[in-house]
Order: sequence, then structure tokens, then C-alpha cells
Amino acid sequence: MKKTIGVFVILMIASLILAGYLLSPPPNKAHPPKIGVLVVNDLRLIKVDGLKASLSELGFAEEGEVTYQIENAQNNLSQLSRLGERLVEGKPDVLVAAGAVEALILQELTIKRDSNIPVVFMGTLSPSEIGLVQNTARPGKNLTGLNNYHYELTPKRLELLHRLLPGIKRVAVLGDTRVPFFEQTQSGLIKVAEGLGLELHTYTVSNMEEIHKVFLEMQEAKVEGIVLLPGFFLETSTRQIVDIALQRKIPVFGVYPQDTEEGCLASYGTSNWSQGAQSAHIVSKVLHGQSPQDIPVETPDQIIFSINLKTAQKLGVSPSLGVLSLADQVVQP
Amino acid sequence: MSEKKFPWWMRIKVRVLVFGVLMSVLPLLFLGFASFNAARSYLQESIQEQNYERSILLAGEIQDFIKNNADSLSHVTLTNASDLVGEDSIAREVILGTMLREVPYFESLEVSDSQFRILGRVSRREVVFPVKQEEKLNNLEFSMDNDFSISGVFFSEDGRPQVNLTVGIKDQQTRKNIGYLQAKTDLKVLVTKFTNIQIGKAGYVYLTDEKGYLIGHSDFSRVLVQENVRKNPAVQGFLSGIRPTHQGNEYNNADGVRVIGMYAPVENPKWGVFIEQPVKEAYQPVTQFFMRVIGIMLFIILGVTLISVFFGLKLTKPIEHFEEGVRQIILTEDLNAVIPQENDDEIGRLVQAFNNLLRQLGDKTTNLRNEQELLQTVVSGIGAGMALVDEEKRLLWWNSIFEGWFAEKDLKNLSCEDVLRRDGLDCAFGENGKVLALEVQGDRRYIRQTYYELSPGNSENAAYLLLLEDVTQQVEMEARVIETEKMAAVGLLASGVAHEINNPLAIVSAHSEELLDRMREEDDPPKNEEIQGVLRVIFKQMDRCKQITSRLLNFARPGKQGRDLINVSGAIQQTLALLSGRAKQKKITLIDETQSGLWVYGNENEWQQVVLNILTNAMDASVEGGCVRARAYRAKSEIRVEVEDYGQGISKHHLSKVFDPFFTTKPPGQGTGLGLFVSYGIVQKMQGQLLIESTEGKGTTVRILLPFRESGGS
Repeated sequence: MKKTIGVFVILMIASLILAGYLLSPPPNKAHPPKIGVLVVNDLRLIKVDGLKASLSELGFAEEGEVTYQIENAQNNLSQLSRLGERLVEGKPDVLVAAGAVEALILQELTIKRDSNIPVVFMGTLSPSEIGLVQNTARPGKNLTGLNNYHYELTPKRLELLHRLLPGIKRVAVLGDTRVPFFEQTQSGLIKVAEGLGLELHTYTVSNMEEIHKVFLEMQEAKVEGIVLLPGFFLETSTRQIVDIALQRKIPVFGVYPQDTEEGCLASYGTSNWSQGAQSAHIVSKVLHGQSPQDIPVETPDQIIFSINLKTAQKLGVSPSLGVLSLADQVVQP
Repeated sequence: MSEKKFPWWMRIKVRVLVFGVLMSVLPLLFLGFASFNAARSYLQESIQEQNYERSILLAGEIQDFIKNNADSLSHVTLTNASDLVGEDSIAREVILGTMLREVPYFESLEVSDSQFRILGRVSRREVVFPVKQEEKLNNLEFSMDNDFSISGVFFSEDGRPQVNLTVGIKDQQTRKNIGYLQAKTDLKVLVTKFTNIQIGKAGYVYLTDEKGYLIGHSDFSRVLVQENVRKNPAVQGFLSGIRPTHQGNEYNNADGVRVIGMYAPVENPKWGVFIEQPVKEAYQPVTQFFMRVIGIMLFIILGVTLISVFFGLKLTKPIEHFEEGVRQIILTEDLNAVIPQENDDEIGRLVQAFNNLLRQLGDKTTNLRNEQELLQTVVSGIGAGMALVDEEKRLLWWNSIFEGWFAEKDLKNLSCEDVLRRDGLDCAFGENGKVLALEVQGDRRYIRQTYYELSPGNSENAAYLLLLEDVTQQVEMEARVIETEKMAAVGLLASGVAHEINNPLAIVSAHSEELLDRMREEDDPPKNEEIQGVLRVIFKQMDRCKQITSRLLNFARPGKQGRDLINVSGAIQQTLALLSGRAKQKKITLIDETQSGLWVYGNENEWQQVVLNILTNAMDASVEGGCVRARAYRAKSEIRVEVEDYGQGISKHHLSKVFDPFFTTKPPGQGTGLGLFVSYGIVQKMQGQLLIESTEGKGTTVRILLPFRESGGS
């Protein structure tokens, strides 16, 4: 009899537990997903803003639906590794790299720790060329993201500079050899220059002292226009370069839309905001369970052609009307 | 009687519990599953409807996208036809540049003349070199009958899906075709927008062109590798032109997952929008609802079970206490016990009724015990041996007296024959009331064996009650009475005999005296012949005396005990001879009308006593000169003995008492009053009847009816 009662009681308790489980609300949101973001400097925080805004539209609003841990190296590259470790230790659902340097650090860390945390890069130069992915169609490992196409657009920038200022014949391309893929872009640029009838001069800089030296060389070569190549140093030194170029009345064609605001005559590329916003779609896919190795690397949906007429005025040049019509943004004098 | 064990599932408490649970669970199950089925159908339909609506919506959006972009082109051609194909390249460049800027989906724009020779181009990503002469528009599939034409989908170097939208440029006045405007339209943003739509957690959207080739997918890598979706039933339905319904298809996708697929065709271009959702996920709300239903049912079952248990225990506890009380009473056999009444409901009243019943049972049991003791006392003190035997004559019960007489060993289930194997005692139970002599504990006793048939179905299963009465005293008294009466009769006979003997003795005396006198005469001594003559007379008279005395002696001797075949007429004749002297004395004629060969079963001595009593009574009742007739004859199976006198008769008042012991009408000293009493008993023992008919003043006939026995038979 006691055994029967015992069995009965156990059955009742088990049924109660089962009933409670069955009636418990479905675990829709076990915990809000956590996104760890590694940023090298404040400039790239705009990408983070674009990321957040777009993720919010995709259902990942910051209030309760997703949490962010943002580590900013404040332009101190040596801190990136430590900050990246901190992010990895936080066990986020996805890591986001604001650019190529951040992506490379996170890649190294995840390999070192044998971690499968997905990493999405918010706009880098040719990710397959710099070793972030094996194949843009099938990235293969735990990294995917957005190719900001800045390098690939360099010939287009050359064309647009030529169409803006058809009178310019000698054009300097200013790059940074530390940037991967630098050498590979040269042949394409040369071909385009030839097709457009331009004389191309290539210069590289890696520090401020070299900038001054390069400008002296440009002056000697009677360079009439500068096309900036993408690169971390150049990105952070754009203002200084533009100032020097303005002093010498040399128009500079930049990469990012903000370059125009910093004094470039024009720029052609995807904005940091757009990179962040477009990357949000990739991050969203990852958060919904898709594996990074199955998410193709994307190229920018929006490329902004920006022209600064104020700079044109300072330079004393008149951009072609035909090309002006192409401009998405025009800084008025 | 061992207590029957009941399995646990027959207990009331279990039945109450099971009943309670079943009565709530069964309807609940029925309703639950009915609701679930209804809800499931509704949910499934809703999900399918929702996905169908989604696909329709997406198809519409695609169509609108294409049309809007085509309309943009058309609008530009309408308003800028001449500038587009005119000589002013700057104007053309401005128009194209403006369009490229304004329509973010256009990747590049080319304008040609009516001969498809490119006049100008702009591009978002590709470097635009100066147009070569005679360079013509590519990918042109245009018909002026349509507003626009759309090429097949192709992919750029960086994997972006694109189409060429082409519109004709018409001269505003002449309506003549003067050129073409073609826009390489980027579908990436559109596809991204579509494929980012969340269809649950694992659902996805994909687009195919009119041939079923993938142009967009939530997993864009599948587009880049051109995964073959043409085998999907949904795609096959689309390619076959079957109009989709909201019911959708269930099938396994390329990954082997069971999905439910919906599709909607786009009118122009003839693409297909497909939504696939894993069945498991699509119907997850149904599953969750089912789990909730189960959960609710479980809760309710739990609740009902607890309530059933509570009420079951509440209901059955008094019953269990009652049962326990009854068991205890059975165990202790305490009929004075009282089971506590716990409440006033039916169970309480049952307990109360049981207590009353128990009390009555106790009283009746006490009464029965008392009666049993009394009966036991009576049975033990009755002085008779009693035993119960069954149909097979086995002993079932006996009293102490029976046991005292026969208990050489344990009597239980012994057969009657084994125990009663005595002379004359048997278990055939034929003759009821038979009295037999047997040795009991060294003493000779007379036992009357009587048996009574019992009703079947009695508690002891007994067939007969055997009653063995010790009638030794009675028999001995009867014998003494008979002997007394006999002696009395002998006494009476003696006077007659003495009287009768006087005659021969007188003759002997006379002749002897005479002889002696002659012998004293010396001169005339008697001759031998005279002496012999006297001696002969003496011998004859002595022989007569001998006969007379031997008759009396024969009557008076104790005689043989027991019963045997006796000659009825013989005893009558002997008794008549015995009474002849007295009869002569009283001058009564004794008439013998007996037949020979009349045999009955009885004691000869006793029969003779009977005959003597009746003949004596008849003689006593007769007057001088009267006669007494003695008849004995056979009438079928009877022997009738009649003694008739013509004397004074017996009054009716005395007739009813003649058989009473010590009743006599004779003067004191002339009779014991036991004659007829003893005779009646003797005739009864002989299984006969003794009847008296008498008419006062006329005479009396005593009739004895005896069962005839064949001679030599027993």
C-alpha cells in the first residue's frame, strides 16, 4: 500500500512538473543577443551607428532586444588585441569588426582561442585578398561581411576625376604599401589611365614625414590631381593631405563621402554609415542562425559621389556639368 | 472459512478515484482533442494563408519595382527624347547622370539611336571609357509593342543580380522610334529586402526567373552557386503555370527538410516568388498550442485526481473503519462490541444498523447457547442414547450416553454397523421401536431402538436420529408384572388344580383303603387280580394327577425367553385343559373351536399367559351352566383368536378402563387387576391387537388379531 502511495505521489509530482513545463511560456527570448564591436578609432563609430540603426529596423532594437559591447582603441593600434580579447571573453553572439585592421585582429583571436564566434566585418578592402575569407561566395570559416569596394572603385575615381576636370592629364595615385592588394591594383589603374589618356604617377606614404616628401615629388612631377587610395593611414591623414594639396592647388579625389567634407574636391565610395547599415543585414542573418561560412561577402549597395564646390572654388576649377549631375552630394560654395 | 482476498482494483476507494478521474478526463480529453483539432486546422490554414498572402505581396512588390523602374525610364524618354539622342552629349550626360543619381537601383544607363548604336553611357561602378563608334547595345530583347523589355537575370562580377530594362525613345511629335534607353538594373537591394523577411526562424524566401533558375534567396550563397530548385514541387507548379492556392505543398527541400512551400507568380517579369517554411516550425504554434492543451489537461487531471483522492478517502474511510471493526469482531467473536459511528450519513446509519444487528445477534446467540446448554442437559440427562447418522449410516453426532455405551474408540464417521454390532441391533432401520437385550458395560440391558427420519438440508446433514432407550427397568418391571400376574394366575389355577387333584386322590384313597382292608382279612386275602385291578386304578388316577400337576407346572415354569414361532391353537388348547377342572367346578362348558396350523411370532409363555387371562376372565364372567368359546382361525394374513362368553358383560364405563393397570371389578384377593394390562402389552409386543366387545348383561367377546407367520419362517 505504501509503495502504491509512493508511486502515486511520484506520478503526481511528475505530472505537475510536466504540466508546468508545458504551460510555461515559450522561451522566445532566452537572452537578448550580444554583439561585440571592435573599433580602431572614433571615425569608425559612424559605422556602428549605421549598424545599430539598421539592426533596429530589422527587429534588433538596443532596448532589450540586443546588447552591444563596443571597444574603441582610440587610434591606438597596439590596444586592438587586448580590446579584442576582452570582447571574445564576453562571449558575444557575434563579433563585429569596424574595418580591416579590426577584422584581422578578431580573426587572429578566434583562431588562437579556437572559437567559432561569428565575425562580421563592416566594410573592408577585398576580404579575400587580405585573407579574411577564402571565397567571397562561400567565405568558409567564421568571418563574413562587407567588401567596401574601395579599392575596386579606384579606377572609377580616376575616371570621375578625369570627367570632372577633363583638362587634367597628370594624376597622382597616393597609396600606402602596407595596405594589402596595393600592388594588384596598379595594373588596373595603369590600364584605365591609358584608356583615358592620363599620365599616372604612383606615390606611397606611411607617415606624416613622408607626406611632405611626396608632395615635393608631386610638385616636381607637376601632378595636376591626386586620387587617394584607401588605407588606414591615409584615411586618418586625409585632412592633412588635403590641406597640403590645397596649398599647392592640387585637387584631391577622396574615398569616403566625409573626405569631401574634409576638403577633397570629390569622393566616390560608400559611406561609413552605409557600410554599417548594410552590414546589419549580415549581422541579422547571423543572429538568426545562419552560419557565416554560408553568407556571401557583399559589395556596397550604395556608393556616394560627393563633390565639394567650395573646394572647387578654392582651387579655381569648374567641374563638368555632366559629371555634376551624377553627384549624390554637392557641397555648395 | 478463510477470508476471500480482494484485488486492489476492486476496492471502493480505487473505483471512486478511477471514476472521478475518468469522468473528468474523458470529457476533457474529448473536448481537448476536438478543440486542438479545430485549432490546428485553423492555425494551419492561417499559416498557409499568411505565407500565401506574403508571397502574393512579394510578387506584387517585384512587379511594382520593375514597373516603377521601367516607368522612370519611360518618363525620362518622354520628357527628354530629343536630348537623349541629340548631338549635345553634355545634355545627354546630364540626363543620364541625373537618372543614375535619382534611381539608386540603376547600375548603369546606356542610350542608343534607333539602330542600337550607343550614344552615351554612365555607370556606377564600371569605368566608362569614351564610346567607340558603332558600339551597340547588348542584351537587347525589345519589342515596341511593349512598354519595356526586360532581359534575363545575370550576375555582376561581385555577384549582384541584374537585369537590363530597355525602353524605346519615341519622337514626341512623330511617335517614331528614335532610340533606346537601357538601364542595367540592380536587383540586389530588392532581393536583400525580400530575403531578409523573417519567415519564422527557419523559413526563407527565394526568387526564380521564368525558367526556374534561382535569382534570389535568403541564403544568397545558394544563388551564387546556382542551386537547382527546379525539382521543388512548388517550382514545378510555377513552371507548369498552375495557379497557386493557399493550401501549399508539403515536400522535402534540397536539404531533406520537410517544408511547406507557397509560391506566387510575378506577372511581368514572369518570375516566381517562393516561400518555404519547415513544417515543424510552421506548425510550431500548433505544437505549442497542443502542449498547452496537454498541460492544461494535466493540470485539470491533477486537480481532479486530488479531489477524487480526497473525496474517495473521505468516503471510504468510514467504510474501512467499519470493515476493520467487523474484522475485529470476527476475530475476537465479541458480539458485545460496538463499532463507533463516525457520522450520520448512510455509512453512519449502516454502522448503527450493524451495531443493532450485532446486539440482536449477541442476544440470540446467548439465547441459543442457553438453549443449547439446556438441550445438552436434556439430551445428556434424557437417559437415552442418541445419535445422528447420515444417509450412509455414518455417525455424525452422539450424546454422552451413547458414547458411554459404545465408545470403544472414536465414533466420528464410523458406520452404524461398526458401532451397533450387537445381537439384534442393526442399522437397517426397518422395525421401529424394537426392544433388544445387549451387554452394555458388563450389564445386561434392554434397549428400545427407535429411529426418526430427518428433513434433508439440516445443518448436520443427518438423515436419521437414532434413539436408544434403556428400557431395562421397564422390561424388568413388565416381566415382574407378568410374572406376578402369572403367579397370581397360577395361584388361581392352583385351587382349581387342587380341586381337580382331589378326585383322583379320593379314588386312590378309596381303592387303597379297600385294598388294605382286604389284605387285613387273613381269610379272604385279595387275589392278584383284585390287587392288580386296584393298582391299575391307582396308576390311572396318579397319571391323571400327574397330568393335572404337569399342566400347572408347565404354565408356572419360567419358560423360554425371547421370541419364536408359536402355535396359537396349541397354547389355547393347553390352557383350556388347564382350566377344565375349574370349569367343571363352576359348571361352565369350555368349547374349543380353534384351528390348527396357526403360527405367530412371540413368546410362548407370554402367549399362554394372555390366553389364560382372557379365558379366566371369561370364566369368571360366566354364570353356572354357561359356556365359553375359544376360537382361533386364519383370516387372510391375520390370525384371529376370539374368546366369547355369555356372562354379565362389561359396562361401557368399565370398558374404557379394562386395560388400565390394577383395574378390576373382582373382589379383593381375586385378581391383581393386571391381567388385561399385561395381556394388552404382550399382544402389542406380538404386533397384534387386543379388542374387547361387550354388551352388559349379554356377554363379552375378546378378539385378538395377530399377524400370521408361515411355519418355519422367522
